[in-house]
Amino acid sequence: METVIRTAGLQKSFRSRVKNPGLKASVRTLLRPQWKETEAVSNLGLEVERGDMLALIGPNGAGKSTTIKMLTGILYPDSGEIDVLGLNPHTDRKRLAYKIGTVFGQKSQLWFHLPPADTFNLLGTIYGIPRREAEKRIAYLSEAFEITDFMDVPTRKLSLGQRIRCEIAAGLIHEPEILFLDEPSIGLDVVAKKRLRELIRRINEDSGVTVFLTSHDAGDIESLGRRAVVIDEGRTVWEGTVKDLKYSLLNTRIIDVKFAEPGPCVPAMEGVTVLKEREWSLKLEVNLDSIDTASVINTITGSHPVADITVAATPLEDIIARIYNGELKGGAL
Amino acid sequence: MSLSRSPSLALMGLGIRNQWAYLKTFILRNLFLIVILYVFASLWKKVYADRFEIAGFDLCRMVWYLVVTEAVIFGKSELWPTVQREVKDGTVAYGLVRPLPYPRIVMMRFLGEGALRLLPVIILGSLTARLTAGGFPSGVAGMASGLLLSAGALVLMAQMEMLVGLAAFVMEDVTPLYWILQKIIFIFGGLYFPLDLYPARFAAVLKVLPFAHVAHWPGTVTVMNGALFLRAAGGQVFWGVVLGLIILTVYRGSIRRIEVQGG
Repeated sequence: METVIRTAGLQKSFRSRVKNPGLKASVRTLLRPQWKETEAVSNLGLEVERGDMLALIGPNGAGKSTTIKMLTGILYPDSGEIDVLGLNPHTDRKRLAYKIGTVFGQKSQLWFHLPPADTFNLLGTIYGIPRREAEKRIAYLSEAFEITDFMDVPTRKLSLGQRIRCEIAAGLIHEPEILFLDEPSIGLDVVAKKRLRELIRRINEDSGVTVFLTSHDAGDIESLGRRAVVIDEGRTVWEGTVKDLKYSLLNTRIIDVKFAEPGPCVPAMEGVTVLKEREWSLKLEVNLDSIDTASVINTITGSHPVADITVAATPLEDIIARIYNGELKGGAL
Repeated sequence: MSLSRSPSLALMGLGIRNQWAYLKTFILRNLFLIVILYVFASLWKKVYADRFEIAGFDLCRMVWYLVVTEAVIFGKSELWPTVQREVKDGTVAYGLVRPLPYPRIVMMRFLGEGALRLLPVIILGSLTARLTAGGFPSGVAGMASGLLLSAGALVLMAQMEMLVGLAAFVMEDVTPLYWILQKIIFIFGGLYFPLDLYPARFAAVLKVLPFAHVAHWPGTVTVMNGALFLRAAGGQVFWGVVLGLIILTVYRGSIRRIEVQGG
């Protein structure tokens, strides 16, 4: 497989002026400014293969957006190497622009007073796509992203979900090899998020475009990412497949029990943690390294009549939170 | 590339379409132009009460000169606040992922908007001048050269405002810079009266500066029926190239300073 994104030792700090409260401090700052340095990305190394869907996960301020901005040529790194499709995003910015598509969830690329169709046509012209080809491409994307019905409605009148779908379609007008998505689902309701994820997955499967996604939404990672890189304070804290992240990294299961009669005290079992206990229900976390799920279920059903029982993997959100907290280590770092 | 697929023309076209949303507000706001022209026409009538001509301009030419210069200043949309805002909120950074440089995108949009706004201003101004000072003092040559030089003036204004806006990379607020630029154009660019009214040597210096190519030259050439058109157009091209190079240098230096945190 061909590597399309490679970074090594990537470093980026931001320098901001310290503004202390009070007039005296303001005068002092004017004469002798004080600066504060914030390390946004530190020694970051990434590799993404063609056609992959990689999710860069991290809490607010982890350095996700800074990373995506360095990869797209918006920000200059302080040090380190970046190679995107064999190009340096800062010295070959213009050439790279034709090969990548970008969507920044918080920055619209659509003209506010004009319908998306106008922006799409403009982008087609900016990227030098012949008129016929541009028309075909716009028609394909309108259908793929289910936006045909509001292509002629001014952007300001679109819902957020509709607008984001148009934004992603706009990012794909010039058939980029890599699509960078920075928090694409931010602010969307659950239905709109689900739909958006399906569309992104479909476009990746149909056209083979590599998707590089940043998000702090576990649902995005679960539905979209094949590989995930968890970063915190600018550093990689975990890297591997989303499947590993969900099923192997934290070798636990959650068992939810509903009793047929008011419940008894559950006998203590090694590797089983009681998360919630009520008269009629029980929630347990089972560590599979110590005990298997079947044994736990047998013990419970043998001690009391059970009305319903469900077994699930630990929610991805909890796993990610534990990685941030330093409770979990490992992965292919 | 065919003309219809030119990115610059496409951007101008979209600027025009985008401006439709504000056109009614714009026309209402510019009713004030009628007041300005009426006041100036009345003042000039007093000045011309005992003479026929001043520095080669009769009353009719003087009022129509004002129509042309005011058309550019009233007609243009304001580019510098957009650039200042987009530098501050980081929008300028997102333009870096496009194959066209940010200044070109913004200026073409500005020129498209200006092209549309120029029309109602010219109509309102012409009506006022016709009623207060008489008919257009030139022929077709004056009209054609006036339109071309007004377009050139819009380009120069866009470039100067772009530089003011880009100063936001190093200044918290660039409003004072624009205020200074505006006053320079008012006084030394010939917005209210032709530079020929200044002492000859001073006027000669002012006439070669870019500010004169925004107001004095388009106004003078229009009312003098196209005379000195090549001199004026040549000056506009010269300053267009110089300002373009300065913008390019400033922009290239500035984008390294971009800091967009967070997502």
